[in-house]
Amino acid sequence: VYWILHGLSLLEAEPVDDYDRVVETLRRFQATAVGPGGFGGGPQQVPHLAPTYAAVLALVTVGTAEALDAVDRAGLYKFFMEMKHPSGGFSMQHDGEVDARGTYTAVAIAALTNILTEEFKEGVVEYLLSCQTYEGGFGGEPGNEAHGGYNYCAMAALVLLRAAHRADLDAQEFWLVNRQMETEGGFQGRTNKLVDGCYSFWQGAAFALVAIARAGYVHPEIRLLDGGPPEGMADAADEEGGLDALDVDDEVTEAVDAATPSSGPLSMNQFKLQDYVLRCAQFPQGGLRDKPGKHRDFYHSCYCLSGLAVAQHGVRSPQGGGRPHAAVLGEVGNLLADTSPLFNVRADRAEAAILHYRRLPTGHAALTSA
Amino acid sequence: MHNRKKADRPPTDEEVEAQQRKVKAYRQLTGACFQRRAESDVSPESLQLTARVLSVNPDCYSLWNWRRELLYGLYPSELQGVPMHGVNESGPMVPSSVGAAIRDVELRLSADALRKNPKSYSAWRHRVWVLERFEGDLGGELRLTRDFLALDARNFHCMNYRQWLAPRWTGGEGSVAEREVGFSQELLNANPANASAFHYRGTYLKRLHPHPPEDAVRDELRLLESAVFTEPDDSSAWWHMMFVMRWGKHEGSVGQWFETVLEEQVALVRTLLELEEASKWGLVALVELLHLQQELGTAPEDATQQVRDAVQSLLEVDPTHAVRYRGMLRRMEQAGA
Repeated sequence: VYWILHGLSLLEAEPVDDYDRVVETLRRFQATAVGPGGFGGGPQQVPHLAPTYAAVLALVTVGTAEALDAVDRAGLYKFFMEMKHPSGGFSMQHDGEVDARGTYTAVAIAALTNILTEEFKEGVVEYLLSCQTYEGGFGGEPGNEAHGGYNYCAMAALVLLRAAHRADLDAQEFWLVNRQMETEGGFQGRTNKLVDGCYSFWQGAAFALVAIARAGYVHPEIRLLDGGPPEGMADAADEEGGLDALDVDDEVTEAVDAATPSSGPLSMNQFKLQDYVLRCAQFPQGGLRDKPGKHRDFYHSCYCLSGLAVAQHGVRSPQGGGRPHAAVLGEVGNLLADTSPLFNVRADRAEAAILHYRRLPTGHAALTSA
Repeated sequence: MHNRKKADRPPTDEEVEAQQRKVKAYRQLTGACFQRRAESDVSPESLQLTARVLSVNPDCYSLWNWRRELLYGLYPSELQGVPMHGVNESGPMVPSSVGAAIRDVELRLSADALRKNPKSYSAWRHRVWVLERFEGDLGGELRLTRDFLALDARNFHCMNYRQWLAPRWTGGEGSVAEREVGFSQELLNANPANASAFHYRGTYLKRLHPHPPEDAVRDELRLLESAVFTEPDDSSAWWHMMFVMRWGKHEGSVGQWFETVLEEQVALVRTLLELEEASKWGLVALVELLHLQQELGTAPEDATQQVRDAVQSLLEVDPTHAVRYRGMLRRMEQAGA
């Protein structure tokens, strides 16, 4: 559900008529019958951090107050605290694997829904930092090889916890930069592996995370998470922003380097990434895929589009708002909506959700009473 | 139309129907399992039913959880005192004499599931859960990891499982660290560009020698020398070289021997760059080695200029990553270099 809704929201073609039914269906996946809270993959399935992440992000994409209020925050908090592991990481499910992915999914959803308490955060940063390898990327667990999916998870969680600067950001950037394939322009997940369209987001968004950390965590969403004023929020419809429609050209890199009013360039080659997604990852009958020769699927469609959006929009500047500036390969109609590098939902939906949940009571005591 | 791949044409009506039948059968099976779970039907039939689902779909994760609960319901005396949840680092285990049959059914189911999906989180986790509670043949498990890595040398689930397993089996010759460094060599012999093997090797080299002596560092560099000269474009050997140099330097005081090794490495890389001017990784390694010399205070006077020249060359040789290199030059300027 999340992969499909998010993809459609970036394409600005959402199935709004189905949204009520989506909310009702996801309510039934909330695991209050078989656990304190959280979501399972389907009805009667035990709560698990991956479907929890997906369900909440799908509800955030729907964006109505009813959708956002469908989340049982107290139940969710209790579930997260049951998943919290002495190592500082979070387990994906009861007796599940403890790793950067579990930790990120918990931290991201807790941040969004305003249940990120001091008790929740204890030991988390140290655990995540210990997942960085000598290559500069992050692995799934301490001692594991650096891997694009886990790298995104660790970096996003560290940025949300305002602690990414305690990692070796230079090594991180260097590892990231070398994951972009010379020939294809897309990204690989690990050294000496093949390109895969989904890494367009996992690796592409990590560049935005590095930029946010280097800017001292000054970013519109983080400002809102910190209780800042809701001015200069992302517009629902960004068509009036400044756009550069560019052809693949040497001059293009210069345009990317130039500072723009509300978004900045990333230290990857944004055009080659867009080129890979548009020319290699698209499936002839529609949808997107890992690479030519592979079949389309919803996961790759979601993450190829998400990576394309990141490559087009760059990273939003501290002030946010204003006229966003994107660098679009091909015609301007290729421009997708802006996605949050922290949560991978539309930036405007992320902001609206943060605003909604931050009005609700929080704190360990409040969330665990009754 | 013949010769068109399945992915290129829409499915036929027969294929759609066959697919629907499969889906229906699967749904009935899982429905039955969840129904029994809701009714707390703790029975051998329930256990078998979960096995039928899991061998078809290893990623129906809830059923692995329920299966574990069923084991406690069906074998209470065997599992007496053994905690169901958590890591069970030092708790009691079920001895082989008592639990071998139960254990082997679980391990066999997991192995069947892994043959279907060698990357199934649930199936690998189940092995860990079982072997935390039942005494087992850990040497055999190490062999299993070798088999799965033969199918896919980059399967990180398998490598991570081996990482969990390795310290728990101390049979065989030498220490665990020596054995695992040897295992990484086997993987590298099969594929000299196996970056996962290099990574794994590095973690165990650090355990073997937290503060490596000269010959350990020289031995590693000797292994790498031929790799970087025959395949200068393969980054994994270069990465390992940079790892080895950092490992050799480690924190704290470093012997004169390391400064010599570092000088020799710089010379080696320069030799390679004479043969292969456009070697990106040679240039990257050179920058890293010069930085190391600067940290030790043994860098030549014009080291900063040498670094700048190398980064300029990288801009020409590796234009895809131009933004990164320009950033490096900018930061050097700002630092007053």
